[in-house]
Amino acid sequence: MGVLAYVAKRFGLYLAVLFIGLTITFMLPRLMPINPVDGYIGQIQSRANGTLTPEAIEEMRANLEVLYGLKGDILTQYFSYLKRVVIDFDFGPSFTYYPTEVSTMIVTALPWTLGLLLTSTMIAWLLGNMVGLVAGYFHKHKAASVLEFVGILLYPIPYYILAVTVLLLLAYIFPIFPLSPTFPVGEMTWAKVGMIIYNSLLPAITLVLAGFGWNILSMKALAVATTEEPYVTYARLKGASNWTRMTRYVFRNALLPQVTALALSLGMIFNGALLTEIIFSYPGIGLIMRTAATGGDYNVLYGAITLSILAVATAGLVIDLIYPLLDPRIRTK
Amino acid sequence: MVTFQNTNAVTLGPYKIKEFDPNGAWQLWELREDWERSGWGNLGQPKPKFVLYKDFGAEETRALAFVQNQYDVDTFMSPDSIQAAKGRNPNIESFSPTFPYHDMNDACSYGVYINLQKAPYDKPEVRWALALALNMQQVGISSMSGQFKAGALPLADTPITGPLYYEPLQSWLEELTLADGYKPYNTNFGAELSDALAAQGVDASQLPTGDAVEKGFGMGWWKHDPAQAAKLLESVGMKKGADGFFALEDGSPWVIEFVIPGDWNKVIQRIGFSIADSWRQAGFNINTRQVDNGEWTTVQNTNARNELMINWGQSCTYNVNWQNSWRQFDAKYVLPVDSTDALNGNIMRVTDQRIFDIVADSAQLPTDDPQFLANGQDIAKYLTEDMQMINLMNIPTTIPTNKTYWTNFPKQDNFYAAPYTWWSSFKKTVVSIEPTGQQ
Repeated sequence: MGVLAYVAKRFGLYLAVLFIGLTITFMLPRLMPINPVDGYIGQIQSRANGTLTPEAIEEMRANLEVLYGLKGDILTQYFSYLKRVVIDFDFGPSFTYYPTEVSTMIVTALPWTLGLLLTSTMIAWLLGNMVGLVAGYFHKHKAASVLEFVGILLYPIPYYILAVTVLLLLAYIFPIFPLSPTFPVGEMTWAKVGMIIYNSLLPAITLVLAGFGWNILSMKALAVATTEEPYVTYARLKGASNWTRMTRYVFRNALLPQVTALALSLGMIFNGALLTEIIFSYPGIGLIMRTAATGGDYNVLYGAITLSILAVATAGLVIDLIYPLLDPRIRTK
Repeated sequence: MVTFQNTNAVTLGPYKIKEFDPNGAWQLWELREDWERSGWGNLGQPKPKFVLYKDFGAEETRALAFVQNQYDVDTFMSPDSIQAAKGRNPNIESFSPTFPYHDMNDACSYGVYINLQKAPYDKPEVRWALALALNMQQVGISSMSGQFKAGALPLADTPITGPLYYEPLQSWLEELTLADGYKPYNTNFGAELSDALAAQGVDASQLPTGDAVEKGFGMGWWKHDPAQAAKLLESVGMKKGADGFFALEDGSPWVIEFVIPGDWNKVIQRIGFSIADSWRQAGFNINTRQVDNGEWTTVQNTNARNELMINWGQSCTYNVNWQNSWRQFDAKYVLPVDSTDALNGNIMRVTDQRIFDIVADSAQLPTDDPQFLANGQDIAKYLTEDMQMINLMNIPTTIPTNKTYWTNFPKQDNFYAAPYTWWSSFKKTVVSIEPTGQQ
């Protein structure tokens, strides 16, 4: 298969995934037993302590249905949605926070999510793989068992328990970090950057700890298997040093599945880290999605899920395209 | 197309928005220099230069931050968390130093709303059976640690509604008799609850005595009598099947779908689970379904989706003007039982023509006419005698405060304002609280 045909096939698949994803995204909220108009009226009625008259509610319902674009048959709504999303990349206003644009909400929340998750995912991946490689390559040594134990200890702890434990330890018993962050607004200064980093450290530590264990165990298993490969034995007989064998022979060959996992994790970070955001009161895309799902805010759901689909599908495409560079065997097929 | 983005808020009060988090986690209000010329400058100078509203996250985090004196007033913290926080920080106080500890003066009340149009709930015997099978003492103790004020009428029993509805109708409640001659009302509910709490080890000094029992725990509630509930069901042909649960008249299984809030309202969620447990013990087969707030509203508004649910926003009666809430009882807001259209009113699904007539007649009366109040009391009687809604308790508004930096918050014995920080009454609070000088 030529390079062009390979790229074209992968790109076609990418577009098909996006199309199917967008269609499912349109349908899913409409299958939920939630009506955004009712949700909004419920909020208003609650704030008014039940004093809205039925006539006012009836009028409000009719107006909101027009305003939210929920009038008309579903096909008309679908084509209008595709046109807005694909051509204009416009998700309209949020129903819950009307008239704030969905794109504004996403743009506001995304830097927080990316800043936290991108950093913590990369650190967890790098640290986990380094520790896993050493534990796997020297798996017959006692020290390797200790390293593996760290992975076994951390991996099965449910994230909620881990997060609350870290919170209790580092923000309550030893109040080194704030229990609940406050992020400054307005023009960015170095002092504010420092404050943001300080306030983000606690959620970042829990995310690194949570991701760290899996990477250790996974890389260790791959490294043990690769160490037994004949080419590693050959390298040893050839006189290659431990360092050379570990980094150039074992690490490079064990790396491929880990790169796939990393790329997929990077795609997934656009979903946000819901539990982290709830526990640490951290602003991000996960909280926005949760609020939208519980309140039937279709437009915000479309925006956030579409972004997520785009990110995961693009991550998959990038993996497909760089695989031949990482693994010569794929190039020759 | 609307272009105003709702920010910054336009206010008439002495505070203006200084900064806010675009993600919605906090907002900081600053006292205006010309506060005296603001809409409520006549109340005096507000003491705090800044007021910060902030979301401290999950309740666990909030409770820890509260113990660390990071903020002054909490909203809707669960009784367990308040108790734990009070145990770790003596500056943390609940609304009242004694049971039931919390502010019970909200105009709305918690109740079990029944789809009166749907069989078998269209029979008053079935609805009464549900009320008498509900062990309110057990529900209140297990879900609220006994910190609640019960009310049998379909509205909250507050210092305002008490003299208007509860006190005049107390003797009627005591004499209320079901078709078989059974008297369902228990005037000793509060005293029995107090005894039960004392038996569980609650310090006697924390429990109300004398007249304070009725003020604290309410004037009474329905008897817990599963045998009478069974008798009522049997009178309409509903008997227990081989599985130990009551069945429908034709012997087919009867599974009650009971909708309660999910984690978004933990207090009502716990009450809901306790009620379901109480009914299950009495032989009712319950499917308790937790839903998110979006779905909860849809269930509330849609006949086809609604059977039984906990609700609180449809019986909010502040004062003599019951029309605020009950004007929704109108035949034009009754939809067919299987309708999937949303209801705009009459969320209780009342179909009682007597009530519709009273509401229509009362629209012609001034609200200060004695007949207007009498009409409201009649509606309360009709709703009660046919058990058209099982009212449970006043909404326990749990607002603990921390007096490390500020004192003189509204309390039961210093009730100068409703203690809500999200209501207009907060303007009275900000001019009344005093700094302690602690930095």
